[in-house]
Amino acid sequence: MMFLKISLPILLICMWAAPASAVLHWQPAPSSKDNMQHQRMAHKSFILVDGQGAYTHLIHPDLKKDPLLDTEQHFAVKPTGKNNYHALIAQRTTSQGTETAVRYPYFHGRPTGFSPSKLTDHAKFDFEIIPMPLAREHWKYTANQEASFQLRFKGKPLAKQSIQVTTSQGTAFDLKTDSKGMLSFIIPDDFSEVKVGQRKNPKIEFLLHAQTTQNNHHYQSSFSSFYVVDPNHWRSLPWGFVALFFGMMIGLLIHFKYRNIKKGKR
Amino acid sequence: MLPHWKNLSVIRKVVQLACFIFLVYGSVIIGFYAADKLSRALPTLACAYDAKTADYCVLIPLQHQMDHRVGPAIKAGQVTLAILIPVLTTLGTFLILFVLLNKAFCGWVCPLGTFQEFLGLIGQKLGLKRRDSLDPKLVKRIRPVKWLILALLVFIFPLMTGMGFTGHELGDPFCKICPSRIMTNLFNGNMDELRIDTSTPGYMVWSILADTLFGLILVIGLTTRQPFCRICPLLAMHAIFRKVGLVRLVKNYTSRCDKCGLCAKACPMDIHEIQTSKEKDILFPDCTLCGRCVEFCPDKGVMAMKYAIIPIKVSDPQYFKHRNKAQKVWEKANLRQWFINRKKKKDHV
Ligand code: SF4
Ligand code: SF4
Repeated sequence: MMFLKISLPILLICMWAAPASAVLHWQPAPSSKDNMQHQRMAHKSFILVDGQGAYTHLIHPDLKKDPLLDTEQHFAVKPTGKNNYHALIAQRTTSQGTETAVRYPYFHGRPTGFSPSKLTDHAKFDFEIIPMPLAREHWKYTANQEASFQLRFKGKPLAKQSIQVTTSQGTAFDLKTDSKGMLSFIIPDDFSEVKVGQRKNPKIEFLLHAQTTQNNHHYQSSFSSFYVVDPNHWRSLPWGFVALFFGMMIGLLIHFKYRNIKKGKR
Repeated sequence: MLPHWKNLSVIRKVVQLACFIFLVYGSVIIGFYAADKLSRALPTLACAYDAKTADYCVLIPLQHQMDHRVGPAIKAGQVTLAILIPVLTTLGTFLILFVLLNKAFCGWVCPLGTFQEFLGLIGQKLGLKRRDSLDPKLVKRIRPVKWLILALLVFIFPLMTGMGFTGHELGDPFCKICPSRIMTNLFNGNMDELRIDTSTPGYMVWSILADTLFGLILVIGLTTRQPFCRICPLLAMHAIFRKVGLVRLVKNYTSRCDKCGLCAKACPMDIHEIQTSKEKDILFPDCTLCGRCVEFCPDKGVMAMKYAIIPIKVSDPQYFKHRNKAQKVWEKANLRQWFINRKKKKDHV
């Protein structure tokens, strides 16, 4: 039973991760799906794909570090009691080079007074994909919306560097950073079946993967996150204008009803 | 002639504009994440749905805490201090800020308050007939609405949602209809908040209500001063704590007040009681501490706006004379008047 509990999510994830199976990256464990929405203090489960031999830890919003303990690449991460984004870190150095992976889960808790930019800016690896900015509380990464990142090597922006973007729906494309090491893209609207209502559409994943060779050493880095369906699939702007116009008409009616009031102003 | 820097209304407009820029586009100026570190419990309607805001209003965390923490805890019979701490932190932060500026958050800081004054300005410059004062009976009838909105939309419905009695549609109902959400996003070039959400009948009703309310404000705001402020739940929340704020509005009643009434006429919130009150403290629940009553009081020292015991503005006949003149010149400069003058000139020729 225990074996099933652990291996099933891994199996599912491996199926998902097929296009990027050789990339070290973080994934939510399917069993933890939306758990956090309702049990705010519950743990969150993650899987480190292709993570054999990787060193893992969790960085808190105030930059304190905790080692992460896994059961066959399955990590049950307990809330730290601190509110805000945390960083899941994985790093592995072999004769082939250095591979790193980062993901920023949100945990609820007491306010720490630390801004998430401290965490994203904090140098975690030599070669890193940095969200600029990280989608924050009120706007999650959403299909059809722009997301921006910067690629840095030893803290310096890396220009004209290619990055692969893949989604769990099978969308894949390559991008290049600009002269400031920045890249932006519109998150693909590739949900296979859009149901009406945000809660009816499970979040899906995107993965950024970049590699470079510097001073004869090969580096690979990944950033992963979920994204949600574009709510504009069921939100209508023309009807919004109709309602706005209706309100304006009521306003005019009220205005004419009380028009007889004298001219004096102040 | 009154120099602009001595005109309280001009000073207020400058402060309002600066606060508007800060609260609508602020994270671009102070950095995206610095915005996350500010209060997140501001006593004005600055909206968290505005991606560029520098800080946001106290009502959003309150509704979320009722829905996600307090409601479920009541349902489970486990209301502990740990559950209440975030609510207390939010209210504490609100209170610290509120003590500093009191209801002046409305008259000087709130982006929606500024927007409504801007609508009034457009109406005035177009030469539309402005409604001077609302009928006291109508004002009395409108006043309880803000308390109802505060109780139902900020506390009771989110609590009931958290307790599982109502659907998610009632989790943050005030945000659903808040005109500041639509306005601040429109100022950022984002029309998404105007969209009608057709996902459930509940969401659809809220979004229709929100757009209708916004349309209503757009039109009524051209001729009536501060239409939304009169039903704003934050005004009600301010009213609860107004006695602890450092900014005060005081009056030394004289018998001349009975015949004058210029202060009440100048008040954008139609607080007729400022004329009739014989009390020293005239900071009424609906006041936004804009200071217009003090500006337009023609008697020396009868009205004053104070910061604790330090007078900020005291009524003065000289100031009143110049201010009144400046107001008349300002009001005459409008499109309608311009057309009338042009026609007169043509007829003359
Ligand atoms: S009463 Fe008016 S000025 Fe005050 S918070 Fe509400 S909308 Fe803003
Ligand atoms: S009572 Fe005075 S300060 Fe308060 S809203 Fe009216 S005019 Fe402004």
